[in-house]
Amino acid sequence: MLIGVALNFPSEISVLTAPPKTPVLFIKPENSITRHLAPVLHPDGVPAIQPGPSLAVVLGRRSRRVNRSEAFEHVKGYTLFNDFSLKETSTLRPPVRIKGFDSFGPLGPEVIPKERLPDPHDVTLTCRVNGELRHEGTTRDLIWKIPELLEFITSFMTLEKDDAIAIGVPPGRIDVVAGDSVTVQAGGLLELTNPIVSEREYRELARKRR
Amino acid sequence: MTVGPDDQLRTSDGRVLPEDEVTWLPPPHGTVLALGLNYKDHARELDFKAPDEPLLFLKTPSSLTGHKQFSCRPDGVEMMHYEGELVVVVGRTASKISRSAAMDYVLGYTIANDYAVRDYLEDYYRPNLRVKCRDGLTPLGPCIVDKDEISDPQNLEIRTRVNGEIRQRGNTRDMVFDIPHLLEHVTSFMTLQPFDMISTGTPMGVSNVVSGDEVVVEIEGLGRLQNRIVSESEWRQRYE
Repeated sequence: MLIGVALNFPSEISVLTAPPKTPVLFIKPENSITRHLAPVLHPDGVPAIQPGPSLAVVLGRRSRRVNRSEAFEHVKGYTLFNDFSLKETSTLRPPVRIKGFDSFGPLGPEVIPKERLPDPHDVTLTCRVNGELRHEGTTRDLIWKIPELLEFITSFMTLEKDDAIAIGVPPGRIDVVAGDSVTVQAGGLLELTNPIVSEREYRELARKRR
Repeated sequence: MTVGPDDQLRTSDGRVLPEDEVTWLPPPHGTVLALGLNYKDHARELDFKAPDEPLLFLKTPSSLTGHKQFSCRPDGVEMMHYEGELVVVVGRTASKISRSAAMDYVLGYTIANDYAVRDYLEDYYRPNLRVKCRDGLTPLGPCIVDKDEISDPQNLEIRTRVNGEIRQRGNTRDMVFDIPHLLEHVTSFMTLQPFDMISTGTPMGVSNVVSGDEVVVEIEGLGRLQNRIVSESEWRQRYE
């Protein structure tokens, strides 16, 4: 299961009259999860879709009521998540359609052990479209950091080994369209690339895979 | 395995299992979607206008529990209420299906009690996970009833009893978005797989429940989904 965290950067909540009191969570459904190099659908009838690089924390064991001071004992490692989304005009209701289209969640390409990333709160996240840098941020700016997120989430739900939490997409999402190639990166450690395709191409590729 | 009257379980070789030797799990499930405000009377009761498009949210696997299990009321909260709901179970892979063909993709139906702990509501991605996706909060079952056994899923009485008293009464004919409409909408963006489910929302009549209450949701033709509310300490003793 993949849980995402929204509104986790200061510039996103400074404009809100009533900022959230707790981390704002969403679920990426199973149909949305895909892998490195797999096509991502640009649905008919929408002008563009929006990628969003996020570092994802991968759990190493079943976790409930984790105390923030021991959060990293529950972490196996890290991977990269690209939280594709339609342009979001409201955060009042769960983004099931906005973020739940088939293929809207590339994850990977691998899980790196936590020892290889000693400070997950100092990672540069970038998004390149057809090679050009279009979106950049850093996990330094996250409001809720990994220990607080794990403590909050596991205060009411059990996470299982290999569940992942995408801890936040930096503000300033960009538009991409069918034909683009989107590459997100986390520091020099992880890189995830996906081609954006039209509905027609997506269906053809799915047919060939079968 | 078949389920007879009074929750009698009969194995394929004909044995009947004694009730106290059975732990009910939720039926097999994949992605479980749920609906907010899908009955006009319930939307009114919460002072909301019925939405223009289905108000969907997702359930987590750990939030689901079986028939005759226990759900936890967190210590110190003011308002936790039940929500008796008809659940549609998908029978085959469904993508971009039309309303007219939607029922061909249905395997059957079951019941959910989509409890909400309202103290934790916030106006971000509402209903937020802390309200609806708590461990073991959501009874599902007792079992999946084949669609052929239900002649009209849009005309089923739903009744929720608390300690035997009927507190919620509605009929699936009063849904804002009916089952074909919901399947068309969801599969317009999401490919559904066998045993994915849509819990179709609750009618008017929600009310607070407390530790010790027995809550039973009954839907015509689908049986009765029974659950007891317990305190945090009792819940942990039973399940952790």
